[in-house]
Amino acid sequence: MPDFLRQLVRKTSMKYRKMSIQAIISITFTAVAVIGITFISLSLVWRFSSEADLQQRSANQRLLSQVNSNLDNYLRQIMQVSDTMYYRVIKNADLSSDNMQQSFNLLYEENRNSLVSIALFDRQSNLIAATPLSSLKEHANPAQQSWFPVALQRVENLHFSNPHVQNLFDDSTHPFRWVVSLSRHVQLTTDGQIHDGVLLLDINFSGIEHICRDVEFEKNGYLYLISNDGEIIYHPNQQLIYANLLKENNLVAAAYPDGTHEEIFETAKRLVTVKTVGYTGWKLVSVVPIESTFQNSRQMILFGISLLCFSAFLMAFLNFRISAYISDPIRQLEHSVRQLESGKEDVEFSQAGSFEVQRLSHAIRSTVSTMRHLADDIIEQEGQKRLLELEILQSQINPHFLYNTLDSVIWMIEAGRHQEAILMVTALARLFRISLSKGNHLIPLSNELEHAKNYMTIQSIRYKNKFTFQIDADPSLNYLYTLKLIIQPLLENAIYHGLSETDEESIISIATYQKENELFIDVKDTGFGMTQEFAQSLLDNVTPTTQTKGSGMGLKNVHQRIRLTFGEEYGLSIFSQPDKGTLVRITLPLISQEEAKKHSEGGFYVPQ
Amino acid sequence: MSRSKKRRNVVEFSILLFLFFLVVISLFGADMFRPKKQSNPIEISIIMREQDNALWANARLGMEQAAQNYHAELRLLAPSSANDTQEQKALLERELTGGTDAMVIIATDTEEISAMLNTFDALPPIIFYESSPTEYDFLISPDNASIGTILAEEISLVYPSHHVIIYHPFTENSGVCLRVEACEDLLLSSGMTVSIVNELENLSFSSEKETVIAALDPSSTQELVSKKKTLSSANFPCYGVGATSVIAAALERGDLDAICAWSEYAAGYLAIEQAANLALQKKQQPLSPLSVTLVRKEELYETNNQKLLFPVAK
Repeated sequence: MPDFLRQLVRKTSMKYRKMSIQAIISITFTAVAVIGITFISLSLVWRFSSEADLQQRSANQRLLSQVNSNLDNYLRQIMQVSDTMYYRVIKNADLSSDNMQQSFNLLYEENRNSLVSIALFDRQSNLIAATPLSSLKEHANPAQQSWFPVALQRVENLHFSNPHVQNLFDDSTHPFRWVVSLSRHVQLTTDGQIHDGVLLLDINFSGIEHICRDVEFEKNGYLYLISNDGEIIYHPNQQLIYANLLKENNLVAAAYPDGTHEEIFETAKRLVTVKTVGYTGWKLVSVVPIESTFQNSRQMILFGISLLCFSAFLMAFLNFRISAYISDPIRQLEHSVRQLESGKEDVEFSQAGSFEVQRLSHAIRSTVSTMRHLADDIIEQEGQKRLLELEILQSQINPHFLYNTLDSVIWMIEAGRHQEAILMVTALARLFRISLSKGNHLIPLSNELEHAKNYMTIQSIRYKNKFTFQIDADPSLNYLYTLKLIIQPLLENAIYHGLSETDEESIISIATYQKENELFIDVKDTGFGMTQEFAQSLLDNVTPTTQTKGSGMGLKNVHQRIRLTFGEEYGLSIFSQPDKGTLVRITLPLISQEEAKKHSEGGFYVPQ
Repeated sequence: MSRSKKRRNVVEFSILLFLFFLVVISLFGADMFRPKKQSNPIEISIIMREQDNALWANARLGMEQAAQNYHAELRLLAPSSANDTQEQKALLERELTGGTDAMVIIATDTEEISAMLNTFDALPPIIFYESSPTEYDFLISPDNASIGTILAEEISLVYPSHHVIIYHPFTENSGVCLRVEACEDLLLSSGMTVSIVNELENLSFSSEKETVIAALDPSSTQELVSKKKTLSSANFPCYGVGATSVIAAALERGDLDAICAWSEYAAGYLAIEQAANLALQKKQQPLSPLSVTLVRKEELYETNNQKLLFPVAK
């Protein structure tokens, strides 16, 4: 493919890709319609032109046939007069005794509109009888006129001459008449002797002219009559041709067979139809300029163009409306989505358009609504998280625990219990260090257990002989990470709520183990216990969170934090019976170091 | 409505309007492209120099045919007495004042007609017939000099020793004058004797030489033929000019030995054709003189001569 064509194709396809739906629909439908209609119009125009051309040719032939018939009838009528004259009058008469003048006069009178004269000559061209005039011109010599010898040469036939000025009779009223001579050989009888003669009927040229004259063809078409050698007998512009002011293609037309022919004459294209006139061998020739058939075609072509334009107009109108109906709602939808992208809150989604567009609009609306709700949920969750983290932060520097512990340290120092004081301060320092954990929310399980241990160390010093503390941790789980500060609040609860009503030394234990893909941390005490219903109520959202005496965070806080961070399938479970103690089970996902690192970099935790 | 939607509506409306305009144009285009016929006929005044219908019959046939073809209306005007210059001038003035689209003038006196035309500021297209003033280009006429020459040649060939009388009553007619001059010149150069007369009465015939009389315009020829028998008992040869039926009959009878003829029908047709075209402001070139033919009496009924002398009248 040449380069420029390739470039054109590329540019066109690029433009096409950037076009709107309406433009594509409009242009495509209109183009298809226009092409289709053009094809149909051209077919119709071609078909009609061909048909019109055939019709015209057929009409010309019919008209020509009609004129031919009329002319033939006219000439045959004259021939019948000649036959009548010969067979009824001349053949049976003896010139020596019979007078034919009366018969001549009678026949002439009956046909005076058509005939100029009837004359009978002998072989020596002597006038025997004639009507209406009886004397020849002084210098008239019938034998030298063409009609005379031809009649004698071909005795069987009747002969029609070309038009000529009559040169026979002395007629002062019409001295130089144009006539067509009908001559024939006759047998004359004089005293029983048969000899040759010539019967002449001079036909008034105006009779032939009258038959041919008023024939109208399409648009300046005309008809003329020629002899079999091409000489013009009648032409509507006969005198102009005789005066050399006009030319006609009569000699060529004489060679055409009957039928329709196309010819070019003096740069003009013409449709010529030829019909031979019966006995005479004359030819009727009709001439129709082919521009006139083209003129009809031009009309047809203009009509076709008009049809095409109207169809294009209609299709364009319909396409614009239909494509607007389809694309406007889509455009509105697109506009609404753009508004949404730019952050606008109250974006309206139009209900208009076709069924599919309505469904699309509805789906987008639903999606946007869902997104909004999800966003709201996330915001709420983040808010809760922030709140809980704030609580942690608060608990991390809970003044009550701090100065109670410091108080304890002071009186231990005062009491000389230095080792216990050192132990307590050390445990406190470690406690706060792990509490902070450089701001990380997920810390190794070992750190969380150590934090619990440090807490219990402090509390065991403060609450001497109230309880014993055990940690049963699976060391193979130490690589796992956990949410920080989730065990200590449980221990705090166990101390303040589980053991507060009893004098016996209770046991508080922590056990960690893995089951399937979950990490379990059980905090158990052998304290007072509670009803299971009450235990369940500690974690629900209905029961308000109570501020505790210890670090200040409750079970609910821990439970919500775990669920917010890891999902609702994780969290706390409380199992308790009165007087039987309480087991609080922490269920966590298995979190490796990498996962904990991702979480700390800002991503949401997604359990594997 | 957003700006882009408004713009789109404007574009759509413009396209629809354009297409609708095309529909209307193409529907009425057929009529627009159809050649328009002239609504009013072209008025052409023909100022003749005499009323003799027989003289102008063939020319009139041609004029009428042309008038039909060119959608023209003819007004034929002639002075009541033949070749009356003053009356002709009066007719001319009346037509020019009254207004006409074009004129054909068969002038009796070309100089006087020319002087009279010069007094008008604006003139319609004028075609002169037969003879014209020198400053006018459009003239329909046979080759006048040829007429004189052809006749002179014939006379000098057939009657080399005869005395020739040229009958020339229309001395103001420049076209006829040209014929006479040409004829006389050739005859004289052939060694013949020539006399020019302006009336046929009191002609004197020489006893030493036989006489030939020639008339060099149709009217004079007809007069010559009609008065031939009264002029002399001798059957002197006559030659004439023109193709009227009277002249043709005289030729047939032998009253004329030969005539110089041209197609009066063609002359009349061409005069009106040129006048109509000039009236329609179409460019026209002056025509060449019409060709002339010598027709002897024995050749009268030859086919070409029949066509020349006897128009097929519709």
